[in-house]
Amino acid sequence: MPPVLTARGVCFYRDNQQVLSNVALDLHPGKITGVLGANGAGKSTLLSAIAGEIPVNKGSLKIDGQPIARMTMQTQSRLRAVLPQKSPLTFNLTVPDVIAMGAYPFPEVTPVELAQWIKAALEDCDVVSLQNKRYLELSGGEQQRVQLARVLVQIRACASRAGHAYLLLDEPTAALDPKHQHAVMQKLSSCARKDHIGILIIMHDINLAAQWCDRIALMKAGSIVAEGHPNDILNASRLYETYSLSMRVMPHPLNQDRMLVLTDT
Amino acid sequence: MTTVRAHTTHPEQTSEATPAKYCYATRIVTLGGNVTEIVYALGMEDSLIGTDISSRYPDRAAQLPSVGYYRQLPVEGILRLRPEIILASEHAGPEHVLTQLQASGVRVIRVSDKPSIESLYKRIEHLSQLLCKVEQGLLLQSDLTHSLKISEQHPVKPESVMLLVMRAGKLLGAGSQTHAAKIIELSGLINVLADQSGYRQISPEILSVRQPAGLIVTRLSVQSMGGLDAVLQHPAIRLTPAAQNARAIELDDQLAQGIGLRLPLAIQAIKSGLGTQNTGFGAHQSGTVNQ
Amino acid sequence: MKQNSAHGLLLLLLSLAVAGSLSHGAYPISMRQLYAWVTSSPPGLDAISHNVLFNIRLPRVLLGILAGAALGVAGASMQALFRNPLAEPGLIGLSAGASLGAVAAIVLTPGGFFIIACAAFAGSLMSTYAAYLLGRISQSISGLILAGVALNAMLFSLVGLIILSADDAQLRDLTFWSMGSLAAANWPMIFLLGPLMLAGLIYLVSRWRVLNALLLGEREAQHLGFSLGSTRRGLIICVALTVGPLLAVTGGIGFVGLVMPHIVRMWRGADHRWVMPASALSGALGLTLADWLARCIIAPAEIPIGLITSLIGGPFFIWLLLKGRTG
Repeated sequence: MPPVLTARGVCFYRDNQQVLSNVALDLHPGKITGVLGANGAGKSTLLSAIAGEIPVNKGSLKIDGQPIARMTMQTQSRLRAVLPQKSPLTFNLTVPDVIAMGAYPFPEVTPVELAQWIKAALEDCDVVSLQNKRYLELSGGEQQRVQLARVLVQIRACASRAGHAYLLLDEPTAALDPKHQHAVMQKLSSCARKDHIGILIIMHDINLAAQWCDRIALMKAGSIVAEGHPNDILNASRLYETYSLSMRVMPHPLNQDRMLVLTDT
Repeated sequence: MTTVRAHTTHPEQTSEATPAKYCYATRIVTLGGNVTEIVYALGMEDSLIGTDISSRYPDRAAQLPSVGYYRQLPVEGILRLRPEIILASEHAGPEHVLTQLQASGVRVIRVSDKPSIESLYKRIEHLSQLLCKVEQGLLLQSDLTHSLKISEQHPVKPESVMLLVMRAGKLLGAGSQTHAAKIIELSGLINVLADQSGYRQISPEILSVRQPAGLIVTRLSVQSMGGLDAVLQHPAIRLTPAAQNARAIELDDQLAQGIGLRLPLAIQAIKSGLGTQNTGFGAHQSGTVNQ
Repeated sequence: MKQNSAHGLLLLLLSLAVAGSLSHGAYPISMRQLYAWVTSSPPGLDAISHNVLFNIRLPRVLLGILAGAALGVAGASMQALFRNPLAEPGLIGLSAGASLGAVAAIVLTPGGFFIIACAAFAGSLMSTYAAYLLGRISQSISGLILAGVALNAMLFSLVGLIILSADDAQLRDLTFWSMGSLAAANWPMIFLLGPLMLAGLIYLVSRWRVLNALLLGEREAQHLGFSLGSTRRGLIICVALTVGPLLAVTGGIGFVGLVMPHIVRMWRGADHRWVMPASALSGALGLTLADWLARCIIAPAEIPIGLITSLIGGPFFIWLLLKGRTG
C-alpha cells in the first residue's frame, strides 16, 4: 500500500457549532494539495485536526494507516511537519538556532546530517545571506522563510527515516513578495517530488494554487464542496459558491497547462 | 582550679551537679545587655573583649568591639575576636551559630534571661560561679535585695500605666511577658496592656480606650519626638489622663527593657515619676528621670 | 567567542570567586597560611582556622554555588516556559509559599531552624501545587501566570495577617529570614541537598531542546513532538523540588533567577544549549560574589544576602530598561 495521509468523515464541534462536517481527504507523498475557502470555512481547523492539535468528534485521521488519535506527539513529529501562519518568537535566537530546531524530533541525528540539511534548507529558502543574523532583526517575510527552512529540515529528517513525509502549511506565502511567493511554491513543488513529501497548503491566492497545486480542495462551511485537479474543479459557479464572488476562469496565457482566475467586480 | 568540661556540641546549660568554672578566662564575649552588665559588676571588665550591640550599660561597654545583633549573630565575626568563652543570654541566636562556635572550641554558656526577679538572681549566681567571683556575686545579690526592699516602701496606688516605644510614627506597647511589664508590676502599678503578649504595635485608639493614668516612654523615643512635651501632644496621647495630669516619665531604654542590676532604680523612677502615694499626699510632678 | 570558551570563562571566574570567597571573611586567615595548607607545608593551619575554613566557609560557599546555579537555571526555565523574560520561580508561588510557611513557623511555633525550614519547604510545595492546579483550569500557559499572580497576592496577605500577631522579636526574626542568608550552611545540609539539587540541575539543563521549542510558541513545540502537559509538569515539579528546599534553608534570595538568564542571553543569545549551563555558572558566580560581599563589607556583622542581590539587581534592571530604549 502506498503511504498516504487520510481523513474520512471528520466532524468537529466547537461551542455547539459544527466547524468541520464530514471532511474526507487524501494526501499523497509527491503531490501538493491546496485547501481554499472563504474565511471561517474551517481550513485552519482542518489543519489543526490533521496536525493532532485537536481531537475530532467523529471520523478518522490516519497517517500511513495509523490513527493520529493513538499517536504521541513525538511519533507524529517524526512523520509530519507543520508551519502555522505566525510564530510568536520574541527571544533572541539566531537564524541557525531556529532552523536547527527542525531536527528536534530526531535527537539521534548526527551533526554531519544536520549540517547538510540546514545548508540545503538555507539555500532552498534563499536565506543563506541571513545565516549570521538574529531572528528578531529580520523582516516579516524573511522570518517566514526562516521558519519554512526549519520545517524543511524537519521533513527532510522525516523522509530520511521513513522514506516519505507530510507537510502542512497555513498560508506560507502570505507575508512574501511575489518573487519569493513563486520561489517558495516552486521549491515546495520540487521538494514534494524529490523527497516524497505530501504537502497540504492553506491558501488564499487562487492563482498561486491554480498554478502550483496538483489537487485543490474547496471548502465551504466546514465541508469540502469539491476536490480534484485545479483544471477540473475551478469554474465560475464553484468559485462563486465558495467565495460568494463572481470570477471568471480561463486558460493561462503564459502557462498552457494551467488556468487563470480573474475576479469580476 | 579550672575544671575543664568535656567537649560537647551543644551550648551548655546550667548544671547543678558539677558547674564548670573559668576562673582564669581572659577572653570573654558577652551576648545580651543583662549579661554584660553583671560581668562588669563582678569586676571582670578586663577580660571582656567584645559584646553585642544591645549591651550599652555601663557606657564603656559600647566601646567594646561589637558582634552585632544578638539574635542574628555572625559566626566568623565572633571567632575573629578569639574568645575563650561566650556568656550568652538564653535568647541569643541563631542556634546553628552557637553550635558552630562550640564546634570551633569556644565554650558557649547560656544564661537565664527571663523577665523575672528569679531569673536575675539566678543569672548573678550562675555568672559569679562561672567566673569564680562567688563573693562578689553574693554581695551583688544582697545589695539588690536591700535596694528592692527600699523600693518597696512607700507603696503607690495600683493605677494603670503603659510603657510606650515610639518608632517611625508607630506606637509599640509593652504587653505581658516583657521585662517592662515585670518592672511595672514590681512598682505596684498595673500594666494596662497586660492582655497583649510581648511588644506589639498598638492602635492609637487603645490609649483612648484604656485611659492609662501614667505613661513611661523610652528615652530614644522621646528624643526622636523632640522632647517629652512633644510626646504628650501626640494626638493619640493628648487626651489620656496621663497626659492631662502630666504624669509621664522618660526612662532609659535599657533600664526600661531589662530586668537587671538597676531594677531598683527603675522601680524608684517609675514610682516617683508616676505613682500616687497610697497615703494620699498627691501626685508628684512629671519630669525626666535620668540614669 | 565560541560557546565552549564562554562557558570556560564563566567556570574560570567562578573558580576565582570561590577562591576569593574562601580566603576572606571576618576571621582572618592569611594568604600565607592558605598557601602553606594548599602546598601541605608546615605550619599549615591552626585548629580554629582549619575549622573556619572547612566547617564554616566551605559549606557556605558550596551552598552558594548550588543555590546560585539552581536559581539561575530555574529562572531560565520559567522564562522559557512562560515565554516571558520577566518570569522567575516566584511566579508559580514558590517564594510566597515558602514565606508563608516560614512566617507561620516563626510566629506560631517555638521555631528553630529545622522547623522553620520544613515549614517553608512544605509551604512552597503546596503553593506551587495550588498554582499548577489553578493554572490547569485554563488550558494556556497564561492561565498559569494568572494563577501564580493571584496566589502570590493571597499568600502574601496571609503572611501579613500572621505578622499582625507577631511580637517584636519574631518580627525581627522573620525580617531576617525574608532577607536571606547562607549562614546556616553545614556539611549535613550539603550532603542532603547537594545530590537533590544536582539532579534537578542536570534534569533542567538537559531539557534545552524543549525550552528552545517553547520559545517558538506552544503550538510549535507540540508540532516538534513535545507534549505540553508533561513538559509543563516536569519543569514545574523539578523547579519546585530544586528551589523549594533551597528557599527553605536560605530564606528569600531574589533577582538571581531573574537577572542571570537575562545577562547570559544578552551575551550570547537565547539558545538554551548555551543559556542553561551559563545561567547555572553565572548564578553560582553571582551568588558566590554576593556572599563574599555579604560577609566582608561590614565585618564582623553580615549583610543578609537577599539584600545584596536586590541592591544590585534593582539598578541592573533600570539599566536594562534604559539600554533597551536607546538600543
